Amino acid sequence: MVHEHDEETQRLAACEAAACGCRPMVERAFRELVGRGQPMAHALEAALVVMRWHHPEVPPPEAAEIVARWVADGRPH
Amino acid sequence: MSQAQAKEEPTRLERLCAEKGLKMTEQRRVIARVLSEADDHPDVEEVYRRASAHDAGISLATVYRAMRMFEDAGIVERIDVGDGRAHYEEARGDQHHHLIDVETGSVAEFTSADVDAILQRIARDLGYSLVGTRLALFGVRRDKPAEER
Repeated sequence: MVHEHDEETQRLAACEAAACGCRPMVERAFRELVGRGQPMAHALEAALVVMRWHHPEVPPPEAAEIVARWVADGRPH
Repeated sequence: MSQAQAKEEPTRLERLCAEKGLKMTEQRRVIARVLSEADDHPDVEEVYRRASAHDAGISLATVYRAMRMFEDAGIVERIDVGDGRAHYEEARGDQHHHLIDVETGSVAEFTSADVDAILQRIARDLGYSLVGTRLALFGVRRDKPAEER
């Protein structure tokens, strides 16, 4: 069980580091929807669907946290 | 757009203003035309910048008043693009929806009278008048090159 958890942690670390390649797609979906005037919450929800398509193994609450962090990083401060 | 162009065939937005009985001064006509020609979502200052390129006499206050008038009449829509400023687009008569490619994150916009009719019917069957929809489809391309399948 611990081993499985470690594997998942490694997968997520790769994801966080954009090594798996899904981060730009998640960010793009968010950016394009916001650019088309969609509300932030709607764009976040859509970005989460994209993320979960790439990582169905990540539980939704955790995926939501990761997506929120990614899109926040991409916004101008 | 030259001043001569501003007097040409009225744009959809100008026609809507006329239909709604809005008084159209020459400056409002220029602002309406700027909005009709925009293929982005300009904020008020950007509308002012574009409009004053055609008529240097237009003031920022005039643009604010015109935008408020167009918005109140439902001719333009205020949208939030996340930068804290109000941006505008010409209000569309049709509903548009989005399809998101989950493999690339790209977003395509589409309209469908069939979908709109179904949504209207669902709302009506539930005892409501539909006042808004937000529909997002998610998909993967079916015509990918063979090596990507």
